[in-house]
Amino acid sequence: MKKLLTLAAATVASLGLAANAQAEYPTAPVQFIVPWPPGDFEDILTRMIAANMQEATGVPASVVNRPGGGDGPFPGALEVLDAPADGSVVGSFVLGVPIVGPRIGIGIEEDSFIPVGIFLTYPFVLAASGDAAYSNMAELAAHAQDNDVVLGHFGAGLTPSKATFAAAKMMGFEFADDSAFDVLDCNTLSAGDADVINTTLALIEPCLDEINILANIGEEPIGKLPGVETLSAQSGINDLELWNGLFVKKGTPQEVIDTLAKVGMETMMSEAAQQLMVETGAAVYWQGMEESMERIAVDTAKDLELAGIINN
Amino acid sequence: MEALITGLQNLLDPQVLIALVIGALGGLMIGAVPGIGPAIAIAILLPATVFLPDLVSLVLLLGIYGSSMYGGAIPAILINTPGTPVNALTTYDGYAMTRRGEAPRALALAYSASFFGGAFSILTALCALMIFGPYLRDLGALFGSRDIFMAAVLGMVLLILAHRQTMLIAALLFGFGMLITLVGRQSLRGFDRYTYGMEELASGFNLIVVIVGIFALSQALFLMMGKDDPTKEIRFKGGLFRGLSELRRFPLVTALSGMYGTVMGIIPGVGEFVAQFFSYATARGLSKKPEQFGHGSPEGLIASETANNAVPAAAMIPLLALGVPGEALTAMMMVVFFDAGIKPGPDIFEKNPDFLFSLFIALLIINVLVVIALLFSTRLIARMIFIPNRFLGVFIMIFAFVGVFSIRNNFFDCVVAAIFGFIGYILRRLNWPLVPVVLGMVLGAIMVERLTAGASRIKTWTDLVDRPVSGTLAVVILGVIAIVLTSMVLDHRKKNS
Repeated sequence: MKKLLTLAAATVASLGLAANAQAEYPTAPVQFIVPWPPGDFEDILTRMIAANMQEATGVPASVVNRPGGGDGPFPGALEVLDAPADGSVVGSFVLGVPIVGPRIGIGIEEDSFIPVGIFLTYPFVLAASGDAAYSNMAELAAHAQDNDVVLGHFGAGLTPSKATFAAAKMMGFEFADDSAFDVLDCNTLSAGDADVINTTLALIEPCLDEINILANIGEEPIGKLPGVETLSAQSGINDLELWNGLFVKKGTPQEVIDTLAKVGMETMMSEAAQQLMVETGAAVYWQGMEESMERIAVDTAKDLELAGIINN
Repeated sequence: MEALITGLQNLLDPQVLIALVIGALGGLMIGAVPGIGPAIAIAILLPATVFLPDLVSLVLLLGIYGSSMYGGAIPAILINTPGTPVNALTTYDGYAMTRRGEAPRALALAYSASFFGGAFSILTALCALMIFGPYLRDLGALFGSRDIFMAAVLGMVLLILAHRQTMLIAALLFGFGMLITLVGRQSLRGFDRYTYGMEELASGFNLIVVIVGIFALSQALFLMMGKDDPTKEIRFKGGLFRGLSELRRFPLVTALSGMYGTVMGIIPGVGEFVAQFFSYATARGLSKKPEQFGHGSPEGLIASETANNAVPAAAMIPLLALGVPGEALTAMMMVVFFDAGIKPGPDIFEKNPDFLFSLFIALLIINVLVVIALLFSTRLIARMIFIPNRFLGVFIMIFAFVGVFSIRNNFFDCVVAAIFGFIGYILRRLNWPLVPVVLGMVLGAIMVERLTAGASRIKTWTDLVDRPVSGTLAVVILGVIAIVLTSMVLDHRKKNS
């Protein structure tokens, strides 16, 4: 009995202490969930936001990477959805979360998350190894008629993967197979895990001189990739930009959103973030809540259009 | 060389230096108190590392990882109770020496042997890093998804085989760990796996929460429900400095044990116990006085302490180069690497060379700090051995729950940790190992991820092993299984005859 009382007292005491750990925003630690492994642009910029947040508020702020293991950004997004709507857990999400999430029946609704702001457009590309027999989409289309080509992507239902499948359909070829990866980098190509990969420049920077960039997914060609045309220009699909933004759970107080937006905007305007843009070809900016919502609506229509091409 | 200097500069940050000292001394004390151990201490600290600066949290955990075995030798030698599980072998000869009135000699030998083991493997790792680091990315081409998958399978097989007396149980617990990682919503595949309609489980189990529950809370319960050992008086006379130089008398045993620890540390799933077993057996084979082994042999003590302390630095190598942890502590470190923005893999030397050097230099400094601290404070630390178990249990429970809740202010996490705490408690009562559960979670997640990624290249099972590395690993796996099964059959026959 004495043991049980000791145990009960310790449990109550520890849970009591745990409950006291909760405090008003932003005095409680803030976690930014990045649903990918460390190292890509969204991770680098979210870490800058967290560092600035910590400096500005004096409250610990950190980035936690929660890769989806082939399920894209959704396990990480569900973790944010599970958290209290108090700004203690903030999502750093690609467009797939608000655009694809509500349409795949996983518990994410159109209004589950509120965009605090969009801050990054990826320099997103389709790349193949240096010894591939193709260096643009037309050559890939011709090669794929007689050869098996395996595509590596971040998740079959995500927008860049859809854009690639739609482009292939428009150009009259199919990938022999495809797989979802948490990371698509130089090693994916050199180890032969995939023939063509959908990825960002940050992940293939070390081997950029040794590989073929077939196309970039974006409205404009990327300055540091001379001679590489956009996927839309080569295939006829509509222009598309792939972006990342900060999101909080529905019901999060407006002052929390305002604080996050202020830090986010200051971070993106900082010299370090702007330097990243100059060096890497990523577009770094701050787009507020209203504009972000409009952008999500426009991109949702584009995503549906891609699905239409694939399913026809 | 530039990365080496930057790595060193990173460590000069005052916060990092403080973490280095706290980690080293904290690990020493945690190791000296039977009942806590580095795994529990790291499990308790994991939630806090989410909010600490990256290098600070890494150095703090490294300190505990790298110094706890030094502390664990103190109760092993003085009261025949290992402070951490890997000091168990030290009791054989260490305690026998204490009974002969040679406690200072045994302690000094244990410290110097541990230091040699630690320094040997750290310097080996540093040299390997400087020589082979720039070529790691080229080697990366050899390590595709199927190769990493097979490396994880090898880790699993070695881990299970290492639990020789409880192999089936270890396999079941590894499977249980794998099952835990499978829980959650498969968003792009369109179904829920083992969530039983609970939305809280949609994003799966949080690894940190499970680790805190299964390691820390279970131990808290165990300590609170158990009895305190009767206090034994500790008395020893004499300084420790004189004994330090005695290690020079046994250069072969020391060097071989350092090598065993380093090599076994590199192989995922093997770890300290196997390294100690080989070192001890070799030392006895080479000794002029093999009859002294188990009865106070200085060579036995050296073999045990050199080998176990050579493992931590070496265990970092597969973790850093392939992202495959070999045992529970490195699995926990992997969580911290991720939160620090470091993704282990073949390109780590190219992307984070200064981080790698910081890591190994920090480990070296930790070893030096610990030996200096031990020379002056062994008597003080020895008093901590008798902290009442129930006090320890309450302390661990409070910190574990506060830590789990603070991860994301979610009460459900506390419930999950409590459930895994009870599961861990039952396993402890049954004397079943906990490590396979955690490695099942970590290696299981790697296997699932790599198999998913490599799926488009795998049309038949032979496609899994038709690459140079995956094929070699498959042969090694089959070879290891064959050797262990053969030796088991031979043992069985010997017993029956």
